[in-house]
Amino acid sequence: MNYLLHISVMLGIYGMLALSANLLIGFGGLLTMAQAAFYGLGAYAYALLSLKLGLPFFVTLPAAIALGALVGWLFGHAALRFRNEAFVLATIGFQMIVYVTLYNWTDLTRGPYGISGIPRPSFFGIGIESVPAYFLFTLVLFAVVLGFMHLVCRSPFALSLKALRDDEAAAQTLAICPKGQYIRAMVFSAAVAAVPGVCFASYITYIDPTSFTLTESIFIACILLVGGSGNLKGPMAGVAFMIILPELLRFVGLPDAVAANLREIIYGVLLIVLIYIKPKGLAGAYAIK
Amino acid sequence: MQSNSDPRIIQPVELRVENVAKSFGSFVALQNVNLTCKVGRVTALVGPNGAGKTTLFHVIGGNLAPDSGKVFLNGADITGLPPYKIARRHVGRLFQDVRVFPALSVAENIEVAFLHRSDYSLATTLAWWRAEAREKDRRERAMKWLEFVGLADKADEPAGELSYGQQKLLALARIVALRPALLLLDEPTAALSPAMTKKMVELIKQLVAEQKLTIALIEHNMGVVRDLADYIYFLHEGSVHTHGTQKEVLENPAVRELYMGLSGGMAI
Repeated sequence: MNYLLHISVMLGIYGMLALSANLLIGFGGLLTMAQAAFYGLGAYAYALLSLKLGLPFFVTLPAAIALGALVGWLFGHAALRFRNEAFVLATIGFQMIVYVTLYNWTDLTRGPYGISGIPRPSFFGIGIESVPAYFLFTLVLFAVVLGFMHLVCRSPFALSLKALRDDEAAAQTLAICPKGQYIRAMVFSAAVAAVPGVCFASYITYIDPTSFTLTESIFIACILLVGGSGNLKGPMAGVAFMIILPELLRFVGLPDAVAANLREIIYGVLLIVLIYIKPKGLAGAYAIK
Repeated sequence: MQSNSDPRIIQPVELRVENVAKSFGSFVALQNVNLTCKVGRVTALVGPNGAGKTTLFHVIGGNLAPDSGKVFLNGADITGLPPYKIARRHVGRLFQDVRVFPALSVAENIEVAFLHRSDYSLATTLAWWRAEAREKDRRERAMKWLEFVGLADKADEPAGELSYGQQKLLALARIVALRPALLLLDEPTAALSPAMTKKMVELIKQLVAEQKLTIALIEHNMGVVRDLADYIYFLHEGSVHTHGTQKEVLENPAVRELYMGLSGGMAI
């Protein structure tokens, strides 16, 4: 039972990450490879503020979100001078900078040793300790993020982003400022990505930089490639597929000696086939270019 | 279509281009171009390919900064402003190559024109109790413009799946939905069937008559120019060669020779 609840918590965490990346990738058409950086910033902000300053959850969560938004705003000003491949490279560069900083700023982050003993959230003296309780807690956070993204999807802002994604020059002739809208998208996306960071750090109670690598950012982008983007269904389908499929492959009875490798190969082939036959992903509204 | 009782009155504008020059390396695209588009008139820019007509539109619309010279809207200097700021001054631009938003629905293409800076705030985004009314209002206003160009029955189709002619009509409806005072139309009838061309011309006439728009028109179809233009500038090799009324320009022997390769006696 706890195994299923653990998978559900991870579904919630990756669900929030996919929704945050969806704003840039699916609505803005900006293929970001830096989502794990904001995820990590949220996790470290929560861990350090809780452990070093002893701040309660209702302060650390907003602080982590604000840090994500601030860094997203600063990074947006630098990276959104670029489009297409150059933008992707800029996000990879930023992802590397954040990772290397987390790894080497040992006085603050303890670098490769990581931070352990991160407190679970508690409200009015009641800690969320058990896995079932944490599952419910993640469910609430996920519902709030999903609700927020639902409103964003319906907003004039999302419509302007989709117009910019489809044709930036034409959108400008309709009085839409590309830089302003893209930076706004980056701020929203980074702020939302900090939430699963907080969730992850407080759930596992231990973090180190290896959870927030470029590989993780690529995994998040893959969720959207597979599930689809530009709406809410796509990221949800992607998360279900990418998190549940590897778990299911554990039970197909592969020979032990080659099971791990075979699972990876089956997984990889399925991804390629899916992207080939469904360019918009399983349930997306937009084919990532 | 919006009625004349709409509370947002858009002031008519006059466009003035003064001594504009633009080169790309050693190629001179525009040199010393002066022109005026008067309020409520259709001013046509004609000339052979490479004469600099679209480059001039790029300069007016903010897509290119001129090397020298100025562009004025009602006397206000707009030279070098980015395209979205020029659009906020009620200048609408129809591109030669259409450029609808292919993944958006036909209705959403129009709705983009209704968006305003103040709509993007976090407070507006989170106001769920207003979201539905806002969507309904946008949709209703979009449908009026789709009815105007005859695309109301396609409202929910992806714009990328419309025929080329329908995409041109959609692009016109979208730019007019922005409620421009000045319209820059770059070959609105190019590659359209005769029936579609007729429809496009009628729509433009209707806009001029009902909305008192100032229109600058690039067009190769002389039938359309004769139908619409009040005043014509003939551009040749980056500069204004001749300008005047239809009769003064289209019957000018030098223009006929340079543009249409016709000798003086042939009718166009």
